[in-house]
Amino acid sequence: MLHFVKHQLSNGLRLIVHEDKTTPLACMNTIYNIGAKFENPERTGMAHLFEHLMFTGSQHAKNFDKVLEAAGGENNAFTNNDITNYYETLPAINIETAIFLEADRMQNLNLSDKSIKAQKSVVIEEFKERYLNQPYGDMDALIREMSYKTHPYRWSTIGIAESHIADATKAELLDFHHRFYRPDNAIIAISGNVNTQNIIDLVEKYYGNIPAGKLIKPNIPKEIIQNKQRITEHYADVPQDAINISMHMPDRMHPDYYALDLISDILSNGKSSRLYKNLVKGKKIFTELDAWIDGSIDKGLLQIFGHPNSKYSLQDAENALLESLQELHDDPVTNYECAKVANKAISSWMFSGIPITNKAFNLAYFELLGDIGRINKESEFYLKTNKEQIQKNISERINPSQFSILRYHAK
Amino acid sequence: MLKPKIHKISEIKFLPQENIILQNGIKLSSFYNNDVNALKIDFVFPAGRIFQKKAFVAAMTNAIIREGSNQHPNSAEIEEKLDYYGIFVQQRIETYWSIFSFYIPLMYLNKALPIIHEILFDPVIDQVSLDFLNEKGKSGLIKQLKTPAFLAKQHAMKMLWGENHPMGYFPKPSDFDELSRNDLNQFYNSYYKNSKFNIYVSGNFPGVFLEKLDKLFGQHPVNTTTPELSLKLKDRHIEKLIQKEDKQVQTALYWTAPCIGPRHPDYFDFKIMNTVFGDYFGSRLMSNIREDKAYTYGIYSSISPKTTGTNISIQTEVGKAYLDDTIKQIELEIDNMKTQLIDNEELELIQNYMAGELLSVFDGVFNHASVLRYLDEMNLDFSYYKDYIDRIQSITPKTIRESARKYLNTDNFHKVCIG
Repeated sequence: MLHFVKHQLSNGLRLIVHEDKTTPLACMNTIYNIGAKFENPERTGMAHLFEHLMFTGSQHAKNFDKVLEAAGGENNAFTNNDITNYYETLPAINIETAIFLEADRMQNLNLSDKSIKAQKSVVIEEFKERYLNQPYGDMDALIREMSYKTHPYRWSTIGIAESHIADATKAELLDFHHRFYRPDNAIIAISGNVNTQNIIDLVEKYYGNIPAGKLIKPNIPKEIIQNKQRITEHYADVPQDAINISMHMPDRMHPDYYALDLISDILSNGKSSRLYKNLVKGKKIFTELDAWIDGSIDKGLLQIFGHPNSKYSLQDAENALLESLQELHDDPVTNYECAKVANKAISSWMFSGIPITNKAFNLAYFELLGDIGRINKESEFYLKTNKEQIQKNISERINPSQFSILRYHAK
Repeated sequence: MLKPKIHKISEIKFLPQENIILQNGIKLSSFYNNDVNALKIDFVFPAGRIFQKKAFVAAMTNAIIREGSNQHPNSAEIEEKLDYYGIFVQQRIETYWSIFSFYIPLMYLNKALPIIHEILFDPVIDQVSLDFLNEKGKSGLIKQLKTPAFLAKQHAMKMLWGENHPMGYFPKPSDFDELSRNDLNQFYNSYYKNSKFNIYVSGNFPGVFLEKLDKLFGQHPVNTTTPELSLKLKDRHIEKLIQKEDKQVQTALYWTAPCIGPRHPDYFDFKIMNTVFGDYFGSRLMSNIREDKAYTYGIYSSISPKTTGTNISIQTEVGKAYLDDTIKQIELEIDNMKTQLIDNEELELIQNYMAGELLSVFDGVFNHASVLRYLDEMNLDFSYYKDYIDRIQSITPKTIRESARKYLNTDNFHKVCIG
């Protein structure tokens, strides 16, 4: 049971505090409700570019990293299709420095021409390093493009093209900050060796006078229902063929979400999973095969990715994989299988919840999802997902007509 | 708005450690904390890459141990149990150690022990599993050999250690075809079966648990001598390699040189100097080459301590057009470290940053076990960290410059650029 206290400021900022006296550290996690899905299709990659710009200094802290490092802290951030997330880990006695820094860059970010130019360039290098220079680096973009036709999940967080990043103007970026980096669009969670009342006082002190925004939530188009199989043939200079099959999921708060998570585990979590036993270790058709759910807030994807053994053609491997997926229908999930994947999911949730950084992130994330109490009910949700519910989801959602298949051929 | 006052860290609190020696001489160290309903057990064998005489023997032996036992030749039966009890296994090799970590929910602790014993001490090393692992290893390597950063590092390691050294050998896919069951059997017998391994237990466990471990793991005979290592870093002439790959949009740069290790009296000064130079986000290299010039997503200088020799490496991936100036800037930053004194602001920053980083190394009971494993490898104890934090808080700009003059020399680096 994770204990926490929730507090909301009059400007709409939400704060969650969790005391953990066993660590000398504290972690501050800030979620801004701005991910790539809120972007203009003509200016993709902005949320991620902005994550970089948030480190270019603010009025009272010219260099964000240096001030934090001087307090013994470390930080990082990530952007995904739903959110932009920032966190600082530092000795608990210096937690005030993290609060000061985050508040100052929410209210008084310095955006200079020089820093915009430099960060655009860094992001373009990141684009090259991770997405162009890496074998299979363009897979995520190809999968999204195929799986989504209307919902903005159709582009990766890095953006559709380098030019979107290169062409962004200072005025657009200022407007972006003004719209999305507002107290009422943020959730802060602080965990570690802290005193709850002291944290509430500090957050009131640094954030209390920041005015709320007038946030107009962008209207996000719903994804159209897929009822026909989609196939993309892609050729690239990579060492091995690869295949990816993706299918649509319910949204994060849907009761069937857990069933789909467990289905992906039945397929490939651990060496006793079906695909591993059957196609990797058994028939040795694949050297690598994984299934996972992407966990996004709106309707996300369940994906299966594999590299065929060099003795098999991509087509043979695909056929074998499709056959194994058909077995989910023909050879129903047993009570034992169901209990096994639930046990493992619960254990995994417990272990991942131990570090203070994960506690802080999870608290902020469940608050964003709209039900922070769910953080203590995850295990329950897994346990009460029975085999009937799993089988129902298999027949409704794991069908070839709903698959998007990426055949990634080695040239 | 005023910057909050910063409090200095002057001490680290370690969790109490309990050591026992099992009946056969095996050392078991434990850290107890009942805040979690779980524990981690690490079995650490001196069976890392450094001991292998043939490429990939160490990695493949580590992997095959999980692929079935004499009692359950089909590993699926063991895996079923591990999964059912929610037990996670991490296995990996380092330079010196082969490590098996078991993450166990407290409620399944009694179920876990016999399974662990069976996996580690009753493995069956069969051809089918070997073929299976070889195919996987080969396909992974083929992929890596297409990555400029991997290639650059491998070339640099070859220059540093020499190609006949297990750490300097340049791997090729056909190496997997050369491996036989016999190679793995021999390696298992020499470095696992009766070797002097260590056990680290961390987390929440009942009092009688350590006795149970003694009953299971303290019985079989153990060769109490530590395996000898005659392999050392050699003094080699400095090499350079530039390999152009037209298809790549970036160049991977990897420089490496031998350097002093953790047992050397100047090591803390060197470590602090290198952190200023290139081992954290605000370092000289990052501030100049990423933040100011925006040539790269990241550039680091890091020290890798090993029992057989320590080395320092500078690595980055930069846009092709920026390579020449990147090299110029690295040399310039090395020069600055040797000629200029760092100011008080940067000194204070580095002191607080490094002290905070040390605190985070000791965050949580599981991390304590990992730290102790490192100390055991280096033949050090926790006083190392007490001395380290004292040194961080007392170092002067002059000592940092001195350390750079003595130990950071552009001419000492083997240099590789690929892409």
